[in-house]
Amino acid sequence: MGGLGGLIGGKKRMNENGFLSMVDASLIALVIIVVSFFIFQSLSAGLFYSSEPRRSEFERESVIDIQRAAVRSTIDETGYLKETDEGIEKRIVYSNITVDTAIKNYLYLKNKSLETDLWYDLTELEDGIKQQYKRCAWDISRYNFAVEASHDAAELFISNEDDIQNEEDLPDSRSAFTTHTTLGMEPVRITLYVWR
Amino acid sequence: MREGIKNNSKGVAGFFLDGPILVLVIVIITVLIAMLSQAYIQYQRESERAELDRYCLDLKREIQRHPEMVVESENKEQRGEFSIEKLDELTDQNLTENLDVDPKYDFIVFINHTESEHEWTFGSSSDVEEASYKSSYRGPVLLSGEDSSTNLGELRVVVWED
Repeated sequence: MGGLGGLIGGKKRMNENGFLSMVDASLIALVIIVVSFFIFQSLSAGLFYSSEPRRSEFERESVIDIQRAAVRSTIDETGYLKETDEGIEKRIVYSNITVDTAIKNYLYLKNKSLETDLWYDLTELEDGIKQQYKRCAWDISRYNFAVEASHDAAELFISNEDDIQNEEDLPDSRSAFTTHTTLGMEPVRITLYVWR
Repeated sequence: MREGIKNNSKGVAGFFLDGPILVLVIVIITVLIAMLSQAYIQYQRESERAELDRYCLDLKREIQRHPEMVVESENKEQRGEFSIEKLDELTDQNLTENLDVDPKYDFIVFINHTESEHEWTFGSSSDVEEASYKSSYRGPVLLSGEDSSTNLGELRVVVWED
């Protein structure tokens, strides 16, 4: 009796009055409803005005503002430990230095420790940079973040999320912005990644 | 078959006199109209929100380069820092008069000094809480004091339709 294939075939599916049978009409109705449902669903989901690109635009704008504010903001006090010739640990203190300078100092000292036998504990310096980025990215803007910078063999990678240890761990849906600075005569890139 | 149709005394209207078919047609039309209306309402709402979001970002960019708010060098170069001195002197009227955005929406701008917790507020006096949808942007900024010291601050721009 019913059947879409039969409907397309035509004449046989009509009743004695020349009209479709109830089953065939129901099938046509079902097909129309299902097709219409998917069309209207995609319209309703915002085919033309999806909120996703708008969220991305806000995120792109945020990553620029966070990076610009963070690298130029100042850390009240930070420092590092170094071992003197007498084998004593000595704390070097920095007051009111910008994050940009702190990153360059970190990379310089890390490089130095890799190239020579000198020992440095840069944990405090790293924490100072991380705290300042946390204030800008998480406390104010509510974004997770990661910062990456490198110079020669020295690398700095920090994130507010413990399970993110390098660039490969970052989520695909992230925004990034890079600022450039110089260490000695060489360029250094500082990249900030943010995501929600 | 053609003969059968011609001789049908019920004519075309006969199709609709068939009770279940008539009910089915009404149901389909009703469902289609309902879905179309829902899609249109959603489309309208999304387009309004998109417009508000765009306006919010434009306003935020305009605020960040507003000469009455940011630090400028002698040759009018801007470094993107807000001047605490200028913010203290700025009035709502000064701000709105010099903004290069169409004043079609209500907005409010908050700039907060994160250390002293001092806050500057500019913009509309209408109640933002009553708005059904509002677009807002929140991000860090730098505030420059008279002694050229730089402090971290927070910029928040909220836009809504009254």
